[in-house]
Order: sequence, then C-alpha cells, then structure tokens
Amino acid sequence: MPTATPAKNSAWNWIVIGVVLIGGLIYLAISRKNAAATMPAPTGAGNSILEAGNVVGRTAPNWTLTDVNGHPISLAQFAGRPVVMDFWATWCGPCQVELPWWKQLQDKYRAQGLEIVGVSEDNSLADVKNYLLKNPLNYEIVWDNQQLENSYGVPYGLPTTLFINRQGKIVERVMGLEGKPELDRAIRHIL
Amino acid sequence: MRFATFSRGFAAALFLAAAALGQGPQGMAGGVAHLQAPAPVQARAHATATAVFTITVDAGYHIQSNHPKLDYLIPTTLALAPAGGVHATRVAWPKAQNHTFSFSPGQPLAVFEGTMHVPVTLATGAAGTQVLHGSFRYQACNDQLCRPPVTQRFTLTVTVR
Repeated sequence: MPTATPAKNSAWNWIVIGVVLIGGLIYLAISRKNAAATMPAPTGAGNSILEAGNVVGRTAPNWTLTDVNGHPISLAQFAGRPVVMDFWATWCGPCQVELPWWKQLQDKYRAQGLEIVGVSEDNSLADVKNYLLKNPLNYEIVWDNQQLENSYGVPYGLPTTLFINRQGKIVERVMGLEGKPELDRAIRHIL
Repeated sequence: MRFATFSRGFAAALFLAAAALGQGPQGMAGGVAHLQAPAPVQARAHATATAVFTITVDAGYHIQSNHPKLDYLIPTTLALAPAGGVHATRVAWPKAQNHTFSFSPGQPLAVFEGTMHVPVTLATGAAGTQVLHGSFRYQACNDQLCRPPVTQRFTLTVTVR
C-alpha cells in the first residue's frame, strides 16, 4: 500500500480546509438568502435587506403605504421632519400599552414637526379599522400588508420602533416595550 | 498527523460556526411553539378514539389560551379536517394559566406556557386508513414583545379496523 508523503498530507489538509470553508460560506449565503425570501415580513428578522434589528445609521428607504381609508402615505412626504415609525399590531399587548404614549408624545412634539407613523402589521385591514374606531389615534396609521419587507426587512417582534431624524437617517431602534420616558428621550434625539 | 487532525477539526468547527451564523436570529416568522402529532392512531370502526397532541412553548414565551380574556388577542386553535368518516369531536385544552405581564398590569391573561398535552377525541367511520390534515394556530408573546400569528400544519394518520 502506498504511503502519502508529509508534503502530500499537508496539501490534502489545506484542500480540506478550503473546501469546508467555501462550503460553509456558500451555506451561509444560501441560508441568508432563503431567510429573506421566505419571511412573511414584517414578520421576521434575519432579513438580508434592511433588517429592522440592524438599521441604525442607515438612511430610511422611502415607502408608500395606504392609511386605513386607502389614501397613500409616503415617508417622502415627511422629508425634513423627524419621524417615528412604530411597527405594531392590534393583537400585540405590549403595543397597546404604547399607543396612548404615542398619542401624548405626538401632541407634545407636534409643534416641532414630529410625525409619528404607526405601521400596522395586522393581516387584515378590517382589524385595524375596527380597532381604530374604538381607539382613535391622533397620528398616521398605515397598513403595511407585508410590503416593507422589501425595503426594511422586518422586525424581530412587535413593538419595534425606528426613530428617523430630519436628515432621513435612522438614529435609533427600540425593540419591545419600553417606558414612556425612554420613548420621549429617543424622540428628543431626532428633533 | 497531529496537524492533520487539528486542521480537519478546525475546519469542521469553522463550518459549523458559519452554518450556525447562517441561521441568523430567529425571525418573527419563526415559531416559538411546536406541536407534535401523535403516532398513527388505532381505532375501531364507528367508535371514538383519542389522539393526544403535545405542544411545547419555548421558554420565556407564552401563547394565548384557547379563550383569551381580551377580545383583541388571538386564541390558540387546533383544527382537523374530516377524512373518510373520521372527524374530531372535541379538543380538550388544558386549563390556561393566569399570568400578569409587564404590559398587562392588574389584568391577568389566560395563557399557555411550557409543555402541554392536548387530547383530541375522534369519531370514526368505516374501516380503513385515513390521513387527516390539521392546523395549529397560535400567537406568542414574551413579557416585552409579541410575534405574529403562526399556523403550523400537520397530518394525523388514523387506522380504523
């Protein structure tokens, strides 16, 4: 039986390392691509586009969604103003806690140009409309219908809130239920 | 030889690390509750049988009970479509746990946590093997955030003799 020389052994070792590394990287790329393709966003993180968990410092991509009356609303129409994008849903208990706070904060900072936009992740527009009939809000509510997946990726959970400054840059993300003082502080950061 | 063993082990570790990284954080679409259907159920014709499902909720999360206390919460459901005369007549949910969360102070919510067993009563028809298609729907939260509703589909085989 022939015996491999040390040189051949060493070469073989490096070939194995290379193949395994390349395989790992290919797997990494495919799995990330699949994650982005299969996520029914805004229902999922792991999105390779602009994962809501990893957006701080980025320019907020424009979007056009409709409000509950079917009127188009775009992020671009708020250019030059500080914007809060709050991803929420009617079935989300922690989100319910924040809604009155957003109302108060919208009133508090309206004169400074603040625009709060509630991005509903409900499956049904009717659910949102019914909810708002019982619980009217004083800021824009748009229905995402999973469209922001292509531009924003999706948040890990709800509520997730993005704070966008006057230059259109996302300067902070708050994920999960925080206290009102924390949200107030984040708003002051973008005014 | 030692270098060979080390380098192969190192490469394998790198591969596993890359693979693990590729999984990324579990997205909102990922499930945190998991239903396990029972093995094929043996039943007599024109009688009843019980299929016991096991549901496990990941630690730190809860799912809404089958009868949430607040109307905006999404109830957990387990549904089976009839097939060949076999149909579900009753889903025996366990008693929900009443927990108060940081987002519901003073308002205990009826939730399911941990592992639970859910017996489903089946009524059978004529002899034969039937495959029932079912769905398990739930909406999960932890103390600070919620994940969207998830529907997990499954099949249950029932052999009627």
